[in-house]
Amino acid sequence: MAEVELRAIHAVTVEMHGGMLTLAIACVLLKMADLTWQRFLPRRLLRLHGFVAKASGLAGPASILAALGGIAGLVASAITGYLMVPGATLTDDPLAMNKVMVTTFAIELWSIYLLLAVRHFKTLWDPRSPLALVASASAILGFASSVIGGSLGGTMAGKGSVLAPVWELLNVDIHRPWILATQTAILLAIAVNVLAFLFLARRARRGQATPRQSQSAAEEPAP
Amino acid sequence: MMRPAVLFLGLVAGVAALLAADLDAYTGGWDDGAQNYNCGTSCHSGPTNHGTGVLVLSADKPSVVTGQGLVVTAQVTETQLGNNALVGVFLLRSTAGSADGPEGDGWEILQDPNGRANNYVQTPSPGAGQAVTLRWTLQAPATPGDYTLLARVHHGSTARNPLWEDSSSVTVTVTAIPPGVPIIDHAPVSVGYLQQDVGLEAWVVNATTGVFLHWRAAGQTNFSSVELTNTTEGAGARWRYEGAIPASATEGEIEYYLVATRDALYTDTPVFTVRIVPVPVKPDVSAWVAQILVGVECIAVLAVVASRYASRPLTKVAGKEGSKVG
Repeated sequence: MAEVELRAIHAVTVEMHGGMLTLAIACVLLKMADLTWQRFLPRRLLRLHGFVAKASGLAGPASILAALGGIAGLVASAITGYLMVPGATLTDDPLAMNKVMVTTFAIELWSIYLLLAVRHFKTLWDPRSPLALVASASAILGFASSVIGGSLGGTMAGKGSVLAPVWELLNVDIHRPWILATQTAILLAIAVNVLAFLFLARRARRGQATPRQSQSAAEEPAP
Repeated sequence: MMRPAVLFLGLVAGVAALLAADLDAYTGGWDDGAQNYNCGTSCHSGPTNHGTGVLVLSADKPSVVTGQGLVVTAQVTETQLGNNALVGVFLLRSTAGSADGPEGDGWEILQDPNGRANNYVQTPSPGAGQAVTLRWTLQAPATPGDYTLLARVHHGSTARNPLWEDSSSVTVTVTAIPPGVPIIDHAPVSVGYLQQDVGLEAWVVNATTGVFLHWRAAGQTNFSSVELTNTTEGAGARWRYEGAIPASATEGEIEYYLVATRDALYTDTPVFTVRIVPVPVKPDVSAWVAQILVGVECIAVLAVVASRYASRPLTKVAGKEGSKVG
């Protein structure tokens, strides 16, 4: 049996998540275009919207399948990439560490999109549901993370990246570790968690207050 | 009405820019390596079309003694290049397509053009019609005889057409080392760091009157010299010598070679190149792990908060009902 090099398998998984996630983001953009049309341009170019609506109908399920394949590809490429570059070497190279970090975020963001898309399959793309914005933002950020990861991977492989001029323009050194001090990271986490807790607590209080007010209003005798 | 539309168009433009960005990591074959004539297993197939480039291979000596160093130079001039303007050059002993690296004849690659020890290297081309020079430093086989070396180039073209060229073969005669002549066994150093001495070690035989290190910054005319110190412990025919190239304050390349002497007899190594680079920054791995965990946790928390916030439907809808599917 012919021996298959690990780098060839890695290449397949890289191409897989590249293609799948591109399809997924294209579907998400189509759904957003459809929603924008429905919310803000309801009575214009109705005939043209018919075509968009047909494509949009397919885009929802397609985005789920593509995101699923993309996440599988991302995870598989992370595993094959790790096997190609031993752990000790991985943590010696800031470029590789940056790539691992953004790839982790990409996997998480796309998983959040997938979770929302599956859980709210029937209502996610309803024009009245702002959840579509959350899902789309997650997909777009996940796609941006995977593009950055691809750029770092291209640089690691020696090919370079077309994003190189962008890094230069933004004065971003991809060969330096993008690492905050541990104290800063922990402070950031505390701030985010406290704000999230306060928001959820406030929302819970409002949720309890509303039924009580309704109940007391109902108990008042009719004039 | 205008603001959301502008926002959406901005979003589309941003994502379109990301789509145009480089997604693939090109992991299917880029990088130096040990490769055969037909590119071995890393390509599905080698290029089938002959290009118009010129590839000239030469050796610095027509004849060496067993174990002696030899510098082989490939000069590549390409007129057709792909967008990557990258050429891959193979140093080979034959065109058999299998086990045809020079190691198969007993040559040892001490230093390749990129400072490693591969027979296949990739290098950016300076442009169409401009020559690029690649040097391999080899150690001659232990068995005397006539040995053949040749080079092959793989590169792309604007027509996205993989192309190749071969050099003429070069024959090097390897003769037995005369009795009493010093022998040097040295693993070359390819990378040094700013403000740090570059330590060197060599194992020598028959060097009864000293081993010397000669070095210079690339581009300079004269070599500086220092005698290496014998640090051998215990008895034996092989002696260990150590020394260092003094620390450099600037980045760049330093060339060096060693000479082992025995009265009027001597052996020298080929000239090796050390690339002086800044001391690499060792990343804080625990901070990196903490940051990933914090990032993952914060994204999850923000997603929960945002989805809770967004679970309340909008009260006012300007348009009609949404698409029914998906």
